[in-house]
Amino acid sequence: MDSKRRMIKKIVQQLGNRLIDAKEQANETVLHIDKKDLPEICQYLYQEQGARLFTMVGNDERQINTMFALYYVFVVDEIRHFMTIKIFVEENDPTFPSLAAHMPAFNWYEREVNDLLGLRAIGHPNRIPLIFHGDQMEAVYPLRKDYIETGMLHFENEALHFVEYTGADVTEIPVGPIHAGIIEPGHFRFGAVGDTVLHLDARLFYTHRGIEKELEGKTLEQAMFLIERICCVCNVSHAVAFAQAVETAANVTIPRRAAYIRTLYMELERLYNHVGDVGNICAGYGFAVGNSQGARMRELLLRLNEELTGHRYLRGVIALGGVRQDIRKDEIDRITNHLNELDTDFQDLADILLNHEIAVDRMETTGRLSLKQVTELEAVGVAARASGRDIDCRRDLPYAAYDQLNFAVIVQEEGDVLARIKVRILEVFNSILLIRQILQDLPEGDIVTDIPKIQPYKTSLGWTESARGENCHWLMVDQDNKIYRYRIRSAAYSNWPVVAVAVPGNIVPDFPLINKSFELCYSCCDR
Amino acid sequence: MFDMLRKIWQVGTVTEKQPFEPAPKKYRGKIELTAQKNTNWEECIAACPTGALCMNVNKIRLFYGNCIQCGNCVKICNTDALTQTTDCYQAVNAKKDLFISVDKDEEK
Ligand code: SF4
Repeated sequence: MDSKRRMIKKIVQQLGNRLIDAKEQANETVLHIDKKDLPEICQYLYQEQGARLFTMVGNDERQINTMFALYYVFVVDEIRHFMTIKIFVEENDPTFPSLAAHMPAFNWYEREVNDLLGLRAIGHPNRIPLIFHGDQMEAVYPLRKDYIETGMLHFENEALHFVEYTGADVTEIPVGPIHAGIIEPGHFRFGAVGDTVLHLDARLFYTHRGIEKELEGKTLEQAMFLIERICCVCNVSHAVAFAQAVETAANVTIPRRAAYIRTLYMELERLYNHVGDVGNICAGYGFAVGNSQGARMRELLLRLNEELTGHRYLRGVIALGGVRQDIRKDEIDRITNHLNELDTDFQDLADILLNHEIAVDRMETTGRLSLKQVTELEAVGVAARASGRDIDCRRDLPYAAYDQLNFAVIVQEEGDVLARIKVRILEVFNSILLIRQILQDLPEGDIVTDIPKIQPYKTSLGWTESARGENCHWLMVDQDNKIYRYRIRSAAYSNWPVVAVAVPGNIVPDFPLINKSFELCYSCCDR
Repeated sequence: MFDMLRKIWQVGTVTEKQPFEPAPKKYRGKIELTAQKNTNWEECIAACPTGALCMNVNKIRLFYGNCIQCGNCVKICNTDALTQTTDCYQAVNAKKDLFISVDKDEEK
């Protein structure tokens, strides 16, 4: 506790008279500064205090204080505390200094506020549209409060934002957005010399549904159902992140039993995801046995989910202030038996896979990412841990019941496809151990508490470690207890930029394998 | 190689033939709507997060296309007018088949 106070004090002192206003709340310090001081102060936090970027939020606060606001949320894992830098941007000068040139992780965030809020990052090295595919004919910014929905937006210069190759030996290979398999849409453009990829451009955001806009004005109960549907395979993670943001804002602690049951559902989610993903990676090099065994085990887990909660992908299990579905005694036995079977079953698959020479040969040294790359681009989750970046917010920023459970964080150094599959395999066994612990220590008691009215315009954060990495949700409610602004930064949003870095240098046929080894979701990235 | 063959042999065939077993008891399936007197329709409608359940003059309408089968309306309903089944076969040939409605004050 003391080191935390000391560190915050030191940071505040460093800011000196550049600090306009500082506010303390729950686990967060909000530092309001002038926008011209932004680069210096962010670099100080980033480089000298070891803070990492958690999320960045642009907000139209003209109704509250006549200006736009930008929130840069950093987390200092060491002291488990968030440092938020807040700047105001005036309407008649909608610009702010860019940080992307020094900290590449900001690249997407700054382009996103440009597209959706019309705030320009001055000095951004390549400020092409991110969410919109092309340049807007007339300026329309959906996240501004005065936006009127008119249906289709019109764009020009559709395809000009790709790298152009001038050498005669470079072949351009466009792939997607409609793919051969039943996967989500994304457009990839390779510049290849012979068989080797020189450069990869990825264009995503085909499934941008405007969920953040849609959430504005919804009651918290209604919002829960939409947030569960941001993506399909991280339902519990997103729902819990939202519930935690609400609970932090309302200042309530959920009952212990509810915290344990939440943890159980989150681990069940991780389990079916990882088991399925290990199988899926095999499809990347046509290893049918691994693929179908993984699919079979995943299906069994999905059926277990359905039996326990009524939904294969665990929707409708999380409530604000707790959980909606309790666990009965006979169901505990059912889970235990299933896990005992899965344990040996999955061990067989792991043995087959890791002892198969051709399989290992395809995965080794493929799609390699260095620790420097994942750190600079702020990758999270399995992709980060496979390259030696030791972050896992279940341990670093414990939520639900994770601080009462014992588990190890798996870290590998190599950063190739093999390392990523190994992290997943070990995390499967970890999850099984975690679920056994949860079922053993499951406390008795209530499963839900009431949520009082939330103080208007207070901001709060919720986060979870999904199977793909950390999801971070940012919430602000208005006077009527309805959502004023909601920002979802999913694991896929942080990890897509590193995919484009991992591919160059590999052969074209390895791209599906590399892509699968990250197993990123398009829809929760695009929202 | 042998461990692979052994696994394939041990597992055997896992694909299943229709008809499948019914969905588990907890499965939240299709909502059934029947006319019942003294139902607190206003509260049911207010509880619906998607607007699938709505009132149109004297008719209560349910549009399956919007219903996410969350069961909120069933939980809040004071009669048996709304019930949740475990039926998961809900495909129809035309969109109009997704609308059902009952009269507000009529007894079945
Ligand atoms: S089940 Fe949910 S979505 Fe469907 S009608 Fe009832 S309340 Fe509405």
